[in-house]
Formats: sequence, structure tokens, C-alpha cells
Amino acid sequence: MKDFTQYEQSLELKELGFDEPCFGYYDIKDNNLQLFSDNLQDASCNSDLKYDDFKHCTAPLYQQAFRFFRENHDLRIWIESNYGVLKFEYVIATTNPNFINKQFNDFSGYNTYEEAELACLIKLIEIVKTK
Amino acid sequence: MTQEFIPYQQALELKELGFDEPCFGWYSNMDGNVFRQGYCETYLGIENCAKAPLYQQAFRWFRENCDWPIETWIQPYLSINPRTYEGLYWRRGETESVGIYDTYEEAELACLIKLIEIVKTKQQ
Repeated sequence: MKDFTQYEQSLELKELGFDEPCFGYYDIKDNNLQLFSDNLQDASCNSDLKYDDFKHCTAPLYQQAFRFFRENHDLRIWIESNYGVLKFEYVIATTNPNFINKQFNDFSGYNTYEEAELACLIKLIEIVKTK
Repeated sequence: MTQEFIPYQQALELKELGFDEPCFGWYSNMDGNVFRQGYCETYLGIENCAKAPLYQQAFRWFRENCDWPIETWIQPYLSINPRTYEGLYWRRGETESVGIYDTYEEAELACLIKLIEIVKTKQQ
């Protein structure tokens, strides 16, 4: 499913305070993505809910993850296509005085939008963790 | 979690354009276009009933299903007011602005409406 952040980033987001309802979760035993059934969608599906004797980690959508950084850390991102060379690149910008660098550009050129999206998310996590 | 989904009108238009992917919600005309949350793989075959794509699904659909490259993105309007957002789209080698908006969500919706308009015009 392209819509969800990967397992490792989902765990890190949880550590950074992401705490919203999600449409999916990872079973920590095997890292497999599962979708919440209807009766769980409205539950408080934060983190480490006990469910059938296994722990799980909620899986944010990419749009949820990027909104989390935008609204909680003033880290705003955009992913641009450079169709001249058929590559994707991303930019992170902030006005947050807690961050020394106000703009980070990664123009290394990713082959797909999804690769750029993942790289951007990893960078956002790194920025906040090292703040 | 309704904020994750595109509005009803745009969901209907995407359906008309050919969007047909599994979604986490749908709009039902039987209830006055009420949003319903739940996994939905196929259209119910009911007029004015539409699956509700996530914003990221909708934008990916345009990226992957248009016959020509088209892309949109929303960035802070850094040069004038970094608290505002500008919607932009790219096609045929040129970047154009959709407008400046107070919130990310307003810019996001404006970009979606613009992409729908472009593709509908192209199909006519």
C-alpha cells in the first residue's frame, strides 16, 4: 500500500508524538501492515494497544505524517517533479526559530515520487530528532 | 478523519474521469451525500454515489494516469508571507500558480479542482 508510511518511520513518528487515529497498523511481530476493521476505526488507536495479545503500531498515511510535521513543528515540505530529467526532488522549509537551517533542499533526483516522499519523511524525522 | 478525503463534488468528478481504486470511505447519495467511513473496493453502481479518495490518492491518480506529465504541489509562499501557501502545477514544461491561500488545505483543494478542470478540458 503506497498510502502508508513504512514500519520503521511509523515507529519513529510514534516516538515523536504522533498520536492520531489511522486506517492501518503494523503488527510488531512481523511488521506486516494490517487495516483496522470498522469497529476499530473509531477507537483510540494510538500506540501499543493490546489487541489479540499482540502489540501494534499505527500506520499513518503520508499526508497525515506531513501534516503532523507541518502543524507541530512548522516543517513544511513539497515534492517537485523535474520532468526535464524525469526525476523528483523535495524541499523542507520552516520559520521555526528552533531550527538553525530554515530550508533544506534535496535535489539529488529520485526516480519516483514515492522514493522522494520516503526520503523526505526520513529527513523530517532526523531534523526533529536532532533539534 | 474526514479531513483526509477529498470533498463529495470532486469525488464525483474523479469517478467520471475514471478513478476506480479501493478507498477508505465513500459518499452515499441515499443519505444526502453523507460521508461513510469504511473500506470500499468497488463502486456500488448507484448514481451520485462515489468512493472517497484520500487527497494523496487523488494526486497520485493524476500523476500516474494522465497521458501527459502533470504534477501539482503546495509550498509556503516564502517570498511574501511564509505563513500562506501557494498551489502550483506543472505541465508541458511550464509551472503555473493556482493561487495563494491562507491554509494548506485550501491550497490543496484548489490544486485538485485545477487538475480536474485541466483533465476534463483535455477529454472534451
